[in-house]
Amino acid sequence: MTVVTPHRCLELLAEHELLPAAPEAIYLAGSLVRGWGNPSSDVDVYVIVPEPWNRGDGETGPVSVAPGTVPIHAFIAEGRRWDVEYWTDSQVDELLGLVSWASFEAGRARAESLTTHETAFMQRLAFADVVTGAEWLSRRARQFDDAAVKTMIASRALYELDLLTEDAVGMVQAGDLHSAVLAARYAFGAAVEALLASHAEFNEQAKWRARRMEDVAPAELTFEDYWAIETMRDFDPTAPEKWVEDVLRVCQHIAGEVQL
Amino acid sequence: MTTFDNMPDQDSMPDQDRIPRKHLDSRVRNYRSKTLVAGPSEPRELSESATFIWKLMDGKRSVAELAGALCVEYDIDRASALDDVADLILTLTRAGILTY
Repeated sequence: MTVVTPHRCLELLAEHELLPAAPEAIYLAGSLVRGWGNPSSDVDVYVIVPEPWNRGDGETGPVSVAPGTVPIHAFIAEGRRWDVEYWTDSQVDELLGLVSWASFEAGRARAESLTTHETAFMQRLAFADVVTGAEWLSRRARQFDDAAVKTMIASRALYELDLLTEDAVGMVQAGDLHSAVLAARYAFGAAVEALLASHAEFNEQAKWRARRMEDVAPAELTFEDYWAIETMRDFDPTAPEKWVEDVLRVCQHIAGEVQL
Repeated sequence: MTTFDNMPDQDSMPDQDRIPRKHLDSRVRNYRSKTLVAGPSEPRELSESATFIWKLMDGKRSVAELAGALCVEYDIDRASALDDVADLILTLTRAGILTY
């Protein structure tokens, strides 16, 4: 989906003194680009720079790569908020190293250490609307697609699924059915996240889960079955343990299908 | 009876009509064409044919049905398939991964 023309994007960045002299790449991403936008959606812009962007008056987002933050500037234009996030090419290299197969197999790569900014950055490379630097974008998208990020995030989700399943089973045995229902709901969320991550869809924002399920359409779980559990369609308040067991069985099936 | 009830694990050869059921909190991972399953103890790697049976254990198929599917998939005789299914069920039952 074209949010704005490349020329207009560059114009707006220049008007707000947010256009670096020699960017490696500039691209649009986020819900609007994916076709999921609504009237209040922000425009997310990524600017890749050879040297750190130091205008100094913006906000920062936490990242695990040095120096621990990325600058973010915001402005209003065309009736929307624009968030412009600046990454250096060396930060991208460092992030790629963190999610490499070598790091993963050596036990150094842990999805827990990635911030939401980093996860979003990596996911959005695959769904970007290039303004400038198409070669950079396609090269980086390919590099991250070949890295271990999908497996890292799916593994973390399966680990969370294991813990929540153990909790739900124990809670039912203890007669704590309210807690068991909640644990089963969260377990299902973790199972779906693992499934989606294994299909290279690791946005992890729960509000977009239905959209993501529709886009991926995984053979392992139909949208109808997914939606029935997500909305607790078959929950019977007089027999909550039945719902918990049914949901955990579906989770178990999903975990058995996820390929890491 | 649901699987939340404490069912003692059996240690004898499973009857062909019995239906094996995975414990709800058993764990599974598929990593680089290997399948690992675990209960309270250490994970164990399943062979290709064991993985095939594992995937068919949906809490609805009986031992006989699992063996029938194994016969077709691997073109082996029924007695051998029943032995393989029974061995797997006993192994996984002792590991606390399923019950039948």
